[in-house]
Amino acid sequence: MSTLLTIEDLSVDLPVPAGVLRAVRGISIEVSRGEMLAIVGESGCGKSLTSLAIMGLLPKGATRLAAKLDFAGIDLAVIPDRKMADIRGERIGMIFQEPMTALNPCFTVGSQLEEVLVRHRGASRKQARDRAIELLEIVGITPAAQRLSQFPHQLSGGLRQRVMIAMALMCEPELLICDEPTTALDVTVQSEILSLINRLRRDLNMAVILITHDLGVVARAADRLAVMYAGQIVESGTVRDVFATPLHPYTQGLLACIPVPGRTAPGERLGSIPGVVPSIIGEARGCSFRNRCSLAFPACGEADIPSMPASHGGDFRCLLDERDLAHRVAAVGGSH
Amino acid sequence: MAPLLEASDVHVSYPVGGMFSGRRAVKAVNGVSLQIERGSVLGIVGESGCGKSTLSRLLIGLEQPTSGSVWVDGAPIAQMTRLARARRIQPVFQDPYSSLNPRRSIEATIRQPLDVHGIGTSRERIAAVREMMDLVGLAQRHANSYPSQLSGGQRQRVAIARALVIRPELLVCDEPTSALDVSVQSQILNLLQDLRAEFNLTYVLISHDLAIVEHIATRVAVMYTGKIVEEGETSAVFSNPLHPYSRALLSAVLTPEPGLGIPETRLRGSFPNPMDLPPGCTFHPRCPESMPICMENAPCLQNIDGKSVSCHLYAEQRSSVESPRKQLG
Amino acid sequence: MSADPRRAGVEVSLTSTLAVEPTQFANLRRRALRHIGFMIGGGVLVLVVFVALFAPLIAPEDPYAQNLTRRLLPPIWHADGSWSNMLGTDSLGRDYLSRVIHGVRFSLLIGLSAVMISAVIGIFLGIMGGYFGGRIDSAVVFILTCRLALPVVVVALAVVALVGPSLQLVILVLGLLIWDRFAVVMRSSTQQVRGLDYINAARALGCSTPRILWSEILPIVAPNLIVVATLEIANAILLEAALSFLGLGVPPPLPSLGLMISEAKGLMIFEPWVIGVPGVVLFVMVLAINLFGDGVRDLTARDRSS
Repeated sequence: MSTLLTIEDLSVDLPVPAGVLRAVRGISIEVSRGEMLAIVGESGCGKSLTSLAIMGLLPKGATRLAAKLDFAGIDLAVIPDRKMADIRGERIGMIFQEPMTALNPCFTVGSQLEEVLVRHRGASRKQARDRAIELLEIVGITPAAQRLSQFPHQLSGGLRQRVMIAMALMCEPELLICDEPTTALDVTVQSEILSLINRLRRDLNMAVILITHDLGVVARAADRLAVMYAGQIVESGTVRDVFATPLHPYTQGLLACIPVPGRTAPGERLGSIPGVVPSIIGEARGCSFRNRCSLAFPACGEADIPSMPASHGGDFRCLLDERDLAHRVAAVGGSH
Repeated sequence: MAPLLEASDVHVSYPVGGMFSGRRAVKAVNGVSLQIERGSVLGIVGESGCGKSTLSRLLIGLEQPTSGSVWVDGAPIAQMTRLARARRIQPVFQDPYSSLNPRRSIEATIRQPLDVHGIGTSRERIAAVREMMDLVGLAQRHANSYPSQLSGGQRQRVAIARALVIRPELLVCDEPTSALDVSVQSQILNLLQDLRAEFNLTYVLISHDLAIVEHIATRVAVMYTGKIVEEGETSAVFSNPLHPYSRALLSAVLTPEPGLGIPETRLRGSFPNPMDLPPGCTFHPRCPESMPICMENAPCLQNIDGKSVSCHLYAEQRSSVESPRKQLG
Repeated sequence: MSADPRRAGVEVSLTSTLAVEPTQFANLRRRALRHIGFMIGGGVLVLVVFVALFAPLIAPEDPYAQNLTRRLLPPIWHADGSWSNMLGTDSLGRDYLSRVIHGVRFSLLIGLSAVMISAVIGIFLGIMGGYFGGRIDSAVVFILTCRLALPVVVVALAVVALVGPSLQLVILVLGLLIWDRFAVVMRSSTQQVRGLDYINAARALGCSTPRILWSEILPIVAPNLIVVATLEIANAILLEAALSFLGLGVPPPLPSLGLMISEAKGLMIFEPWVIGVPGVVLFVMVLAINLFGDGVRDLTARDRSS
């Protein structure tokens, strides 16, 4: 698998009334073709801003800084806005949580789908229409030809999300960024949409970045994951490794919070992480999780925590020794 | 002893359509009967549009049934006063951002039920509020704060404190944790569990998150198009769902177990238009096991292995049981 | 994880990394001080209200006292103006400054009283239509449409012409005619909050409908109403001036600004200040009220967005 997207040391600052919100603080990720990387975190951890920063769609006033923002040999950090607009939609597709915000209510589904191809590929209306029908069938919308003349509000939530996917796929993008693609959907629709994304990923050898807070979705759909907390990646690795031996106390806490049928007994106390996710405004030193961490000690507040390589090939950002952390999981896991 | 809450063949429908399109009715709840025993937790699951939220609004008095009746402790709810019903049944809503009045301080919010019901002197009310704040894990210094100054989890604690301060018996929780972050979600679930033990509460828990329902509920009702299609002990329903819809719903749950892949649901089509429900069993167009009879007759709830199921698949079992009797007749 | 699960909700504050949020009031005050229109409008308005409240004490002379020996004295900035009658005198020799001061008092009195009547009508109709919806709402919208079909000035003129001009009648007629904006704003804001869960929570708590309307809905939509009220006061003042100018407002010799302008219109060519002074005062007063109203709207709007 060849690397498609390489991000090194990406930071996003947002001006807020109280100062400068350091929403993303030096994250580095790599995505290969045909791979699904999940970025997991709670609200406010900076996961959505990361995806917007890749797309060059940050809100006004936000600043993006990156040592490297390489997409298939193109440096996204320096290319002009016009070129970026061409890449968006053609080579990088994006799916949002609420499809109504991305679909224009005034135009039919068909005209919006066709527009993508006409704009990016200079295709004729006829070609674009054929492609739109083909894609709607791929994403499981039938009868496709009739749906083309419908308006977004005439479709159900699941169908709208499928239209969004079809729209993102019109130009066969190399990278698909999905921001909470199934959060607003029912469980049966959720698994249909996820298996659709996975099938398309395999067929088109497409790279996918999946942004979600749902650990179930991550476990079932993704290959690798990066856990974000307060703008930093605190742990990354393959889904199998991280779920089996989570190292960072935050990841451990997060996994203990959700009931797992068969592993947690009904009615049993769930693990929880005290406190709330902080917003880092201004300069911050030390581990941003230390005020919620049961293992914190004075050194946690003194210097920035470097990312350490884990034995399974991933990374974690904690001062404690990997073996101690892994041992703790075993102890916590044993109590279940 | 009568169950704490009993509903019998409850229907709720709304007229829709305007002057030109002709008035039609949306059947949101379509003949629901259920019993909630004291101290139990009834989980209601189903996809959006299945009527579970309307059912919860019915229980807390925001909707009136178009037909059928609801009893609390054997007394018909229709004959109870507004205040008497409120004393026994209180809600916890999904979104803690809209469920608290933004202009009212935390203390005033939690005290409001006592004011409305005229319970205690003003000093006793303040003491009750303070005690309640302790019980739900809110620091006393938040008493004079306003909802906008609290986090989502803290607001949900305020909403729970407000619901419990008049000591109701039944708490109707409509998606109590789905607006919260994962780590906060478990805090609220633990709190609900603790309070249930402390006050001997009965819960109706409505959630789209089946893992939470499985974790907390003692009984589960699966709803589809305003009807209960399966009801029974949580463990029995989750380990061996009988109705094809329950099976599809439960198989679609993504547990956080890597390597299992994404399940195929085998459901055709999508949720039917509530104004234009299919004839017979409303699930038959999507059902992988539909039979000719499903298109004609709507199945009734019947008892199979301690569960109630509404599906023609199991009609044979009953008819085979009944057939000797028919021969006798 | 933690020893006492109840403690889990009590958050710990991160030293130095979390900025301290200023309190809402301090925030609002800071923004208000920065809002130029609000400060100018508010400043002038404070002055106007002060003058109106203490008019009998401030005014140097009796505004009704005629003195035909000193008719149409010029104001102070004229070559032959004098300090004894700073703004000169009118054609009946009454002190113009005293008349303007009392005129401001009457304008505000009329504006406030008319708006109070219209606010009661508009808020009642709006909240009923917005909260109950359905047929009640249809009825409210019908009444509103009927009201909007009436031309305010023409109807007021007709009524005053029939009954005869008086201060009370002007207030009543204006109050009964300008409630439309209250009703529209109240109806739409009520519709917005009606479906919110805290209203549902109050209903589930057993609160009566009047209680919900009064203590759950009204406090939330009040900021919108304050804006409407200020703008409608300005509107009422202008309408009163227009009616008085046409001779069908408050009857003479009451010192209404509109009446003063009307009385001065014949002298406009040779004695322009006689019309200029009440005109400018009216303009400044209405402008200040409007600036203040816009300021309140900006401040409350941003308050809710933050």
